[in-house]
Amino acid sequence: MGDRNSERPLLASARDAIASFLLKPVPEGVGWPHVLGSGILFLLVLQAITGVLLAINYDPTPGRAYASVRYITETVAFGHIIRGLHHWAASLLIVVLLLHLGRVFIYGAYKRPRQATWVVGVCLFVTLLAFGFTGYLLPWDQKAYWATVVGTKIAGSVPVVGDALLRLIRGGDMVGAPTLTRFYVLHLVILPALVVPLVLVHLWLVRRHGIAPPWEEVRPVTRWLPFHPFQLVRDVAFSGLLLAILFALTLKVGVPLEAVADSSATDYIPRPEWYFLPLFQLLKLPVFYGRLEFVGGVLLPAATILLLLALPFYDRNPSCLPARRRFALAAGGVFFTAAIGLGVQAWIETPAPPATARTRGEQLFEGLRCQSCHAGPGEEQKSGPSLASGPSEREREWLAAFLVNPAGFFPGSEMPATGLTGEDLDALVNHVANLRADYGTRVQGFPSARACATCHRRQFEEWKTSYHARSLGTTFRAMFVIFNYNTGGQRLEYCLNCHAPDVKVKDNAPQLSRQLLAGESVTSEGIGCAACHALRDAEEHPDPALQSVSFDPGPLERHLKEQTKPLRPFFKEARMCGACHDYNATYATSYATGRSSSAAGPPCCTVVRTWEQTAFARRGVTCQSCHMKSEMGVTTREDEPAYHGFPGPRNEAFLRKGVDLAVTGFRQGSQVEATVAMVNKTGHPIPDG
Amino acid sequence: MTTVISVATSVPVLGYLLSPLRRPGREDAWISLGPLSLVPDGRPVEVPYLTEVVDGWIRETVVRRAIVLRSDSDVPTVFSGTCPHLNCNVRWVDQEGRFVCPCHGGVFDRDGRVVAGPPPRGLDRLDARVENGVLLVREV
Repeated sequence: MGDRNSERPLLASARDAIASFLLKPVPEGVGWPHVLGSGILFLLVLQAITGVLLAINYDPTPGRAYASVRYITETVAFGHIIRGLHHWAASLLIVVLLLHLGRVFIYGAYKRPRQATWVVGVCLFVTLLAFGFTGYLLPWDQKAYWATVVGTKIAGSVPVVGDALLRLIRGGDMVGAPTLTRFYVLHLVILPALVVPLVLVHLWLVRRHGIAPPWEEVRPVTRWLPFHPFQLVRDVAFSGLLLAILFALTLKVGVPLEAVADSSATDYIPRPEWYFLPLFQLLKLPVFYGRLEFVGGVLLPAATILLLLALPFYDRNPSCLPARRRFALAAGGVFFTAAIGLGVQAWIETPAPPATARTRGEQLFEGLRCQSCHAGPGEEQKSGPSLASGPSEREREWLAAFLVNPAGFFPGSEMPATGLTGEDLDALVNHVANLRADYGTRVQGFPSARACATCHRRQFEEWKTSYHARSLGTTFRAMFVIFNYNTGGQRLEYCLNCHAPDVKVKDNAPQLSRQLLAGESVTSEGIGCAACHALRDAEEHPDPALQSVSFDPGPLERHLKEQTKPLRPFFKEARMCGACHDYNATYATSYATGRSSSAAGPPCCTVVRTWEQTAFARRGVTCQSCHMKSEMGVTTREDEPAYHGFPGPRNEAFLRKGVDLAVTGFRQGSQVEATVAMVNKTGHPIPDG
Repeated sequence: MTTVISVATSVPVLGYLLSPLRRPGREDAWISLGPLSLVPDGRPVEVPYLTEVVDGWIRETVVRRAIVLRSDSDVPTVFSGTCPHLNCNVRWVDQEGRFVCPCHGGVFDRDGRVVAGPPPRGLDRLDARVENGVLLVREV
């Protein structure tokens, strides 16, 4: 639209500005230590780009935030890389920022005329910490939830206004939906709106005052070099190095996502991100107990920031040389060492999670990463000898000696010495010696899902996400307590037959019931692999009263011994699921109430019989047809392996496939009348189980 | 005019931002934890229960935990399972006979009193009463 005459000066001035930027002379002493600032700029730009990409698929409500983050990580193309870059860059940003701050401090570059540059830089530092704090709530996993519970509660320790402050930050009494949306808006709108001008002002000040050369007093600048190419090449190389580190962390370490936030979890040990650990540990110091918690949690960090901001104004020593700034450097060193010390102490003092049912041998086996080199039964050969075929029991002594000193047996062996002695060595030897037995000759009843995972890792990972794996979760526990009280504690097997089928084999229902009622860790893994794969076909069972849930571990044992397939024809039929999802209702009802009854069982147990009356049953569309087809229930390829995540109504994408909802409403005065029309496209009532 | 415009815009904006300070009315419902006879003597028992909470615009039923301790009196003592320091969930450690908070190491004895660590007070107590042999609690 513009005319050619006005475009030329515009282009020319843009070209001049770029040339002026690139060719701005920098002092000769400027070099690699000065690339940290441009590294921060690079990481900020990367965070902005990856952040916008993540926001495209993120849903900031508690019920869906976790699912959307999982969706990004597991389903969206390159989603795990985008999220990994964003996650790791947040930490790397703090590392580079601390190095940059340290470099400026040691060089004395905050002194006149660069006081304003320092002040804006410290403001940026605080803003980026706020970015970190608001950002890690967003995945809504356990770490996110508990770090935010603790972090926000610290604000509540402020005298007089603490409670109001806490409610304003959380948006209510507890960390919940309003907290998540608040943090989301802060992270995506408010903080970027602060960071952008701060970065621009910081850059403008750097350009105005020039990059501070190291210790001009003893090394006067005699030569000036253009920014491009001398410093720009270093800056670009450093940014490339940062990106390489981020890719390496993303691809090698992965991007963490813990279990979904659970406010009732008692076995989770809350810890914040590493850069907040010093503050976390500070509150453990007895001096900050009770009323002085406010001092450790709020006043001291605030005072530290103020001290940093005001540094150029109270440090009036004109010299930048370390030799003439011993006090300042010593004070900075003490502060930095104390912060690192607190962080390390917090890390060391983090207790181990509550003991699980795993044996010490299993823990050592995993901890030493034996499975990295040694294949288990059914796995492809790895770099080390397979453990599927040995050692036998008589080789235990040999194995113990070998684990202590592998090179003594096979000079040049890559097998590292385990460094174990005593009971730990015995535990690992027992575990390795039993591996074959566990998967073969010694299997009785139910092997754990973890054991199956040695060969069937994919199915295990899918199962972990399912409600089968959480069949003894907090909701079940609450219902179990109610059931216990209603039945006088007499009919508990009714629940456990399906929710913890292994109790039938282990005959430990009373013990498990006690654990559940007392809120303790349980010795059952819930509905594991064997619950289905060792299930007896109802028609095979001689006792009609026990048809529903009974087991025949034979095929599973043969599978483990001889690698035969433990699949039987009825595995593809609805009656297999009906063992629990159509729990012999007459029997169940009488069991629950203690009275003989012909009434239908509880509504959660009738899904298969209602399905039998539908066209789905007549067309041969079974439970497995939908609930074992990929996580979202969308892929229907015939050759697709059965999906063991068993999506159900709590999986929103899956539910959307099964139900059409239409809501219409109108307001009448203070009331709203709504009509909800639901079209059920499934072969059973909804809700049902 | 400037003042009018400023007030007209800042009052609703401030009111909107400060709305979390207004506490929603509590319904003070009594929640059944079941027959008292089923609570064992001698040690605290963690009892999960379902309660309805209002989380902003979401009204949902959540699982919470109460800690019930029978004593000589007719009504047992019922504690909240939340540490009064920074709101982490405390755990009963049977071997040590005390509650431990996994966050900053707060320790409470079986009666909920602070034994060690930073908690400013003992475990909070819930209102409790027994009606027809059923233990009822109310969140305070």
